[in-house]
Amino acid sequence: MSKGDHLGEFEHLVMLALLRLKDDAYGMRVRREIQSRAERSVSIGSVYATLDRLEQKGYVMASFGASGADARGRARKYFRLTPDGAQAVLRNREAIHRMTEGLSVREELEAI
Amino acid sequence: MRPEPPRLAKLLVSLASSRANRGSVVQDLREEFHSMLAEGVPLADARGWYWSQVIDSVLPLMAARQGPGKLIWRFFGSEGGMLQDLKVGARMLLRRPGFSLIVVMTLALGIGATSAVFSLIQGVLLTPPPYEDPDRLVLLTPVFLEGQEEQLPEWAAEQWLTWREDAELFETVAAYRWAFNFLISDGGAASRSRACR
Repeated sequence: MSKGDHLGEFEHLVMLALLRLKDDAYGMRVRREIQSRAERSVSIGSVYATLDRLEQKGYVMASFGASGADARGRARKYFRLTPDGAQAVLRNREAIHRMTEGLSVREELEAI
Repeated sequence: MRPEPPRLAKLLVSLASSRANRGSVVQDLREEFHSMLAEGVPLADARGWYWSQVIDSVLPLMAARQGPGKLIWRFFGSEGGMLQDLKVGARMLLRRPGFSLIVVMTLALGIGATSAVFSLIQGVLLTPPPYEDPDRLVLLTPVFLEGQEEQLPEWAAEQWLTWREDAELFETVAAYRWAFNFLISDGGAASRSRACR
């Protein structure tokens, strides 16, 4: 696996948001999803910059969807994971699982 | 008339965005702005939110326009960029002001002491004396002929004149002596000074 295949923390959050939002994943919805679930203040610019990067890596693809339009009737830009993107999320998840397996983080924290 | 987002902020975010994202970013922000107003958020707060979003978005959007690998990306990239490191560092320092003060004092003392030592080395060892051929200068220390170990504390001016006239090994001989409290006059104003003559 090359260095570029690894997901950064924010990239991982954005991809999980895409998975959660399914067909309703456009920039502002992704921002809101991360803000409400991860309780993290996020700018729309960071979301779009990250989506661009993930698109360049081949993990995400964008399309102007017919399923929804904005208030002025313009087609929105929707994002979804590619099979490579789904594999990357899975790899990340498994890596985190292996690293945390058998660990009681709460107990470790109390011991510090 | 329906309130619109601040024009200048809208212009800024448009300029920062790539052509592919420009419409989506502006439209997403506009939609959220109107949703806030519809939910009863005061206009000033909604405008403040819009501005804060634009301010936080401009740099990541500009960096994304440049593409990874470019210098601006390395500095402003939303993850792993130098700006991110600086932000984290600043936050950690602010969170523990006592520790930060000790770190700053330690650095200040270290830098100050190092500068002082290097200034001294520069002045004393590295800067050549302010006269020609300093390597040809020798210090003559007269001693008693009878073999006493004490050095002569001082000698008569005539002795020095004799040495100067008779010396064959030396180009010339000069004498010096520490003295204090000279009066130096400069156009009528006199000041006291310590000197060597």
